[in-house]
Amino acid sequence: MNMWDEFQIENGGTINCQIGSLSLWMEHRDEEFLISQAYSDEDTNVLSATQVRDHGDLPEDLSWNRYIVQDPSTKFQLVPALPDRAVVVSPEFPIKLATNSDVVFYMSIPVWVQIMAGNKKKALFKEIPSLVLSNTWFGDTMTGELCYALTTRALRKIEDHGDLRHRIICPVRILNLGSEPLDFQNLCVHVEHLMVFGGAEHLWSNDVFIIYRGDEQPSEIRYEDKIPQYETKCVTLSSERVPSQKTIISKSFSFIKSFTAFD
Amino acid sequence: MFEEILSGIEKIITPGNMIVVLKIAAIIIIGLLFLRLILFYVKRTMKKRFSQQSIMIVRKLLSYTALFIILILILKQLNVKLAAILGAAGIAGIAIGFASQTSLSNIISGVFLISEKAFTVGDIIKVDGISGIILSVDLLSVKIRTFDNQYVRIPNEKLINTEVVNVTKFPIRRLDINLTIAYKEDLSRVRELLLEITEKNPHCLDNPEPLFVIKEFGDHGVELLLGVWFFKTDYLVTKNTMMQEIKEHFDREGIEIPFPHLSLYAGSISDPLKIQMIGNKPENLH
Repeated sequence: MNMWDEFQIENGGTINCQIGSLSLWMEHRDEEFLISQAYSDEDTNVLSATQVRDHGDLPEDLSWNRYIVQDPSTKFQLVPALPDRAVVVSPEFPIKLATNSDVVFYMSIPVWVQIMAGNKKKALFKEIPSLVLSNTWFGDTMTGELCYALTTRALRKIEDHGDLRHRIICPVRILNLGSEPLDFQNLCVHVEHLMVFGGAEHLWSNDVFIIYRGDEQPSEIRYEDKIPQYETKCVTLSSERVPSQKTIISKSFSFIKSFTAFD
Repeated sequence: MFEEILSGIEKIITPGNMIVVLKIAAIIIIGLLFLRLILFYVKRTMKKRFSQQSIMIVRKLLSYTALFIILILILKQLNVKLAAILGAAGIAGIAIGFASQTSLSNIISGVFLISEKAFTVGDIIKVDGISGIILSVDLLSVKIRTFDNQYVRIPNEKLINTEVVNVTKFPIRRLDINLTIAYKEDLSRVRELLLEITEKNPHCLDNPEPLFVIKEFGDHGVELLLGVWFFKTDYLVTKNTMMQEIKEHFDREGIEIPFPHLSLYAGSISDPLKIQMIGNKPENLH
């Protein structure tokens, strides 16, 4: 069973999906569907969907949510989506980018699993992140926006990601046109403007292109609307949550290291 | 008697008077419908651009103006001389003005409060030990709903003269957790552990970074401060999860939270404290 394909759950049947640290159970009981989830401590590279043969295998402490549908033959589909808020990406180690240089980083972003239900037209049933990301703030303490925090290895080669199937790879190209080297500590990526594409090996988002012109100048951000060319036969799996203008002028880099307001 | 009443009614309900009554009814019905329509469109058009408070003020101003116009039109239908009424209202206004200095003070304070924009409808404020969510900011008073669901009316004059804390003015806040640990504990290890707890808690913001301060060497132990940032709506969940996790982690790691002990003696002669010696020395001494 392909994880992102449409499927049906027979009456009395249970399906278990493993997406990274997320374990998802979906059960069909009479005219109701029950959904439960649990997280493991480690974000393992797992992406699988299996039929649960023995109900005794189910964890005892699962808390189920009941969903009632008119048609018990309702079909389901798990759709990979990007997080519902912007993500502030911080590299494991500080990176400096020289002036008039550009670089492409392949960021891996955890999947938000959308459970869609319906036969002709599917509607969103529930949305679950495959990894619980902590909150962070992008901006100063009086203005800014609430984002998810994500530490990344900021890999420069796709091959280095290996067999990474449970995350979405977001290619970010940064061009430094500023007069000083770019001290890349935090990068705010508005993933809600990005689509998700499925290739044979990986999940992809559109390319993000950032032109940095200095600390005082706003950065220019472009969200490419083309299908990524890193793999052949990439198909669109989910569209962007919020349509974007093609170019956004925004302050995308944060240099605020610490806040020491202490009375 | 009955006939007298009937003849009196007949004198009042003349065709001319009926027309006046119908006109007044029409003015009231059409006026109120028109007002409701205007208020609806004002709310709809202002919703995206303006704050809830601004919408409320505009709606109230429109309502009072419209009701005043309706009243004038009704009085005109009743052939009441408006000049005399307005004159009398002016004199009455001066008299009322003198008698209601507090109200005037509240109104002026209300104008300042509204123009100052220190808070708006929906904000959480603390005034004189009362905290709650602002329901409305009016010319005379501010109405708040406390967290135990009580309705509190605070006169504007008081708000002008008192310190008002707007808890939700800014989008993020810092939760300060004061801790005391025993002198024997390794401060570096405690710092590491506290920052690890903060990092793992999804409600604590990674940026701004958490604040760790060794405040002082207190009477009972080393006093520490851990300041964690959170989104303004996550106050309770952040506080509860952080306090619980700190206690659990400290218990697991054997980090002692010292606290003063108090011995109570109920009227009897107090015995000396028992001391237990560990080692080869005598075991119990009194």
